[in-house]
Amino acid sequence: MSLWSEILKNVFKKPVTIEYPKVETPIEKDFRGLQYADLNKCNGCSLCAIECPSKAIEMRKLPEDIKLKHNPRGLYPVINYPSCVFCYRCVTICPVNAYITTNEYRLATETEKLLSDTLSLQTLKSGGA
Amino acid sequence: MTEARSSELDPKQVLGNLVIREEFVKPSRRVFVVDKSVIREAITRLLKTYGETSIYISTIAGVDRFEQGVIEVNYFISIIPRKEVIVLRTQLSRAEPVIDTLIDIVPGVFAGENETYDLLGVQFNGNNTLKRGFFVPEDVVGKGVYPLRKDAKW
Amino acid sequence: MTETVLQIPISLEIPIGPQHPALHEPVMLKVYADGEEVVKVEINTGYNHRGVEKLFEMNSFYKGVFISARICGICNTVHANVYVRGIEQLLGLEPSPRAKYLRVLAMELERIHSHMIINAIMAEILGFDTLFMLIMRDRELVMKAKEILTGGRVIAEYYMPGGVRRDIDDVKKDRILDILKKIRPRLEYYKKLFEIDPTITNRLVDVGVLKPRDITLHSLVGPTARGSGVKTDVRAEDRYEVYGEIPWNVITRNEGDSLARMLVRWDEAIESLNMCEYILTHLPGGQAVVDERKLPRVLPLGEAFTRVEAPRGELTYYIIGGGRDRPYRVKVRTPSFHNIINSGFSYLGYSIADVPVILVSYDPCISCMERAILIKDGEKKYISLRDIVNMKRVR
Repeated sequence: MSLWSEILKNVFKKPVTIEYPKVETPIEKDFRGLQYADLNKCNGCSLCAIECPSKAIEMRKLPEDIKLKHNPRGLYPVINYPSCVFCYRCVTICPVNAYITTNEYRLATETEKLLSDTLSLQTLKSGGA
Repeated sequence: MTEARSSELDPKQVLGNLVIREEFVKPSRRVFVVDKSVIREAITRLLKTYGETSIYISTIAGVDRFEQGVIEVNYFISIIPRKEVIVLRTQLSRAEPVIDTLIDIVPGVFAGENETYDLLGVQFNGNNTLKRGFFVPEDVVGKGVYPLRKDAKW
Repeated sequence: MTETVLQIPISLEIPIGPQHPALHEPVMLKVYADGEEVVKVEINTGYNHRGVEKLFEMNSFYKGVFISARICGICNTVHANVYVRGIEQLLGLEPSPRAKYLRVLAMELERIHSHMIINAIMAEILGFDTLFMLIMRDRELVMKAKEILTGGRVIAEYYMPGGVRRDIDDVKKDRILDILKKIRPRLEYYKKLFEIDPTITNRLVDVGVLKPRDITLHSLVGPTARGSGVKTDVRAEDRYEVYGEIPWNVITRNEGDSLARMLVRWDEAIESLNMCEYILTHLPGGQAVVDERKLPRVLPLGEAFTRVEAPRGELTYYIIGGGRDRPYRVKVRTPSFHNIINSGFSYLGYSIADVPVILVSYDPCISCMERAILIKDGEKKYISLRDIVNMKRVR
């Protein structure tokens, strides 16, 4: 009995589904999305790789031609996104706050632009943007 | 009904002479160490004093103490009118861990006893529903390994 | 003229599960039925084992905060809370009052959306799909509130020993209060619908009646126990965090059938809504976020036993510290462990069509139920994401 008024109201309303590619999903600015290291601040201490609960971070040597004064060991973190659970332990444990956080959630893609080493190395070229 | 008066009784008075020593678990919960042969008597006394609808067994936790050579079995019991949780702790030898079952007095230990048998190898005398493979998958059961023991390798 | 010499009862064995369209998670109920009436039920588990108790012993106790959240997806906030409180008792840390209020806010929001989904599943099992869709549409508002508070819709990652990981300001507080104002008339409408609609009451009244004596002897907990008149709630007994300061009531009903259990859940959801509004209007000031770089690294010797009221019942953790950075033993006992495995006696005497109704009224969460050994993998091959990108180009 009391469901009839509800159904009648819903006949005259738009559907609730968000028609995704035409319309953007409303998402918060501080949603836990993609994160990568800013090499202008990173000093290669490897704390993020030690503390990651799913062992998704690997420390790799910087390319041959780059020498940074604040990074004597020459290591930088590369995150393997299929293993990452986005708990942000790496972001909060870093002693120099070197991680850049975004709210990017569309990760089911293999484009070059979303790989962690590309994003980190790009921060050096643009001079710390 | 003497329910209202008997819920004022302290568990130490109820258990009386069965307690060997008393310890503490944070945050300030009392532990009564009893011998493994009197566990049925202790539970029956608690059930009779507080009544069957005011007390239930919350958790059965087995701990493998490798250096001391014992396996401890802890029974955590919640007494609802006193808003308190007490612990009955028994110690079994690691070479032959056997203890009496409680399943005919309190049928709710069915899940806890099965889990402790499957993972740590503690035998409960009189419980004929115990079987391996309750939780542990079959290839590990085939090697005869009790996974939660400290020296388990498979 | 024939005489009856011997009567042999023949019962038919009907396996429900592990994969079945009526169940949401793999569990096997072997139902023996004589005609239409159930005479015996055997419950087999173990299809969803993941090895969590051994995993706790092999990793540092900070990684354990994230492991404990992943035992169950829908009650991840309460698992993380009880583990963090156990570690705080061993280390001797005390969170600030503002952090305690924010922790309770996250847990109560989770209680509202967990109760909404189990009622939607009950409607779906009965065949009432319209009601399932309507409840899920309104549940999206609660998920949005949780995203504003913690940064994630389902898994919150909000807890750390010593406090919480994020704070809220006035803009976020007003947005959450607006959302809560929109949800209140919907919850009251659904509760009234469950009480009077004949589609639901004809199948739920007098099905799966449990007496108080059965409940305490078989250790059933949570709304299952409160639907039969047993007044037990861990929030009132232990008074952890701020439950001793906020005004709230314990909800019980006396009939003991499946409808009483579902109505207890709707009443608790409305009670949680009142609690969330009280917390947001009475937040104390101060510092809530803890600096993770300055926390201690070694777990001292000692034992702690902590409990929490999850949406499904009483959840207990027993943590033993061993003087290193790894705990010596962590024992987890979830509410579904007792509610599902010990409840084989309650199906007897009812017909087969009542079996899924009784099972869903206990709120099964099978992935919570099963933890304990670690499966080692045979051979590992590492392929990084960049190799996959290159593979696609070469072809």
